[in-house]
Amino acid sequence: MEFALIVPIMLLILLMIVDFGLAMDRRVLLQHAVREGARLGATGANAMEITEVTADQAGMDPGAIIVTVCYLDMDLDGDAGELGESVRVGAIVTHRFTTGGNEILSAFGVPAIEIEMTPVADMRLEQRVTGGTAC
Amino acid sequence: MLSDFRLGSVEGGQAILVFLIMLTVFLAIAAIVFDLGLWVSERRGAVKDADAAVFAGVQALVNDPADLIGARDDAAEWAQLNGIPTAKIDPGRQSGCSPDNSCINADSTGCDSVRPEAPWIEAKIRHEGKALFSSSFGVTGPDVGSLARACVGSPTGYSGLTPFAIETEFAAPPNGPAETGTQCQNNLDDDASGPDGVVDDGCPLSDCMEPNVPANPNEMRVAYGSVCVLREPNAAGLSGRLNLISNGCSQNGGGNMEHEFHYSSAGTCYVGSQVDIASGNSNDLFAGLAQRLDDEIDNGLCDARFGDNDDFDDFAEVFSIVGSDPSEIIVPSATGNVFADNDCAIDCGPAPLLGCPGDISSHRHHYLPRALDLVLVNRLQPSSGTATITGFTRFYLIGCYPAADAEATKQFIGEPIPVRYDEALNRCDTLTGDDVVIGVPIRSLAPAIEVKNPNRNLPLSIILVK
Repeated sequence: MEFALIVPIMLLILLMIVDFGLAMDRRVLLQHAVREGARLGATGANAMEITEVTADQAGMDPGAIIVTVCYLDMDLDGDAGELGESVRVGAIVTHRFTTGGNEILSAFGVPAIEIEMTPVADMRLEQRVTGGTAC
Repeated sequence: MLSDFRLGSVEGGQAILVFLIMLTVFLAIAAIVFDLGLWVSERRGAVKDADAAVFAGVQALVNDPADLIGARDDAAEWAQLNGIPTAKIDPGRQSGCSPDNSCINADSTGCDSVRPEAPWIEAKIRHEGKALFSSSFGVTGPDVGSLARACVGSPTGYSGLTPFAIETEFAAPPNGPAETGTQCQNNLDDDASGPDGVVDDGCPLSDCMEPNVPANPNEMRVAYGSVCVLREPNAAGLSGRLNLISNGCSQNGGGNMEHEFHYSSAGTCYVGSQVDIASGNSNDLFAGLAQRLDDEIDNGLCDARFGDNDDFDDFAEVFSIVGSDPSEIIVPSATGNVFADNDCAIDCGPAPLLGCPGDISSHRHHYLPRALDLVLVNRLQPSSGTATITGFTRFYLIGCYPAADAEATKQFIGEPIPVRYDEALNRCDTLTGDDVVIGVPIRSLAPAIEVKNPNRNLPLSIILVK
């Protein structure tokens, strides 16, 4: 009887640990993904290619991640994307704890927990890029 | 009685005890997972910041290996853009960081044991690991920062090659310095190998070759901006064509050389590896190049980009000087210019891309019809059947002509070539034994070169070593 009461609580804690581990994994993956995207952007790739690679490196469907690509006009001459300026690649992902802990909490009326992850990477342009969006 | 006593009075509440023990263990595990997770995440962020810093800083060293201050400042600027406060970066070049700070170091030599002559830059980026739970037990967050080092080096491999070779290992012409342009009229056996037609018998490759280093007059390199005859018929049946399939450079199905002259090879070739020499007629060469030029008319983007629309990709439409306005009128020069591709390569392959006409493979092709990326080899010897790759060089394709027209064309073009020339001469459609191919060397792609080679047409690459 007591054990039957305790098991769900233990299970909940266990699932929350798993949930948190997965969230950390996602965060690390996203940091890696924006780094790879920015590196690709630095070599002259266009925004579509950068977005594709960033989503791929994050291991996510393109619909589940918002990738932002813009270019810093560092010399303030109105022309962003010149050689030596910076490409900024960011990702916006809303991570929802879903492995189990969240559902169990939801069953007790606790709102689903979501966190927004927004890693950003800046890399210096090694090729001139035309037609990019200024930051 | 004993068992009754145990059941009735002692065993109650055991599960609570187990629960408390397990809860303690679980919470401890949760705390460890939480803090370690944060440290790993911080560590990944530090790797990103360090990479961005050294990639930015090393670009200054590519332009000038002695510009250590510029490299350091650029690295610091990008570290700051990635979230490292300026106040947290030690000033100047530091091999060791002050407590709690990041630091950057650079030097003109000593990258590593493989590249002892290469300049390098190193960034030690400090990220403090957050200790949320472990701080309760007096554990402070560790420095989970990252160290990155980038060097300037020579690229050693290249893909997207036209299977066509140029010799580099022959003696400098004994009858004077390497010939260029209209100097090529003496019809001497310049490579001293007999009248084999392979190198320089008449008006040949050595038109655009020069000694690679003064200390080694038997090793040549292309002279950028000169007009080259890339292929000359010879009695041995060698025309510089290569079979890239044999050493894994090519991944195109069937090793169809006409296809590779058209779309370029899909594999990567490396300096120092062996490659098979092809012999026989050059019909595949001319057919493949003719298809390239047909693509220029049908699918070319350079003309459209610059509003010329004459179905002919002028030099200035295909290339621009690095860092300059792409629409700027330029002419190739033997010194001082480093050319970048303008963004007008044809991109075709499996859907949703544009279909590739006559494609026999399922590869994605990305090529500039006017740009031939050729293979430099040591020797094209009829007896050996193989050659060693010494580098790769990009050429601007002028066209293919009967031999007599080629000489006239070359003299007409002179040096430097004008932006436009007669379209009527621009063809690769004479499938006979005496066609020649003319091109202008644009830049070296992946040679085995010295890092500090003063020739600015020789590219250097950035190598992340840590």
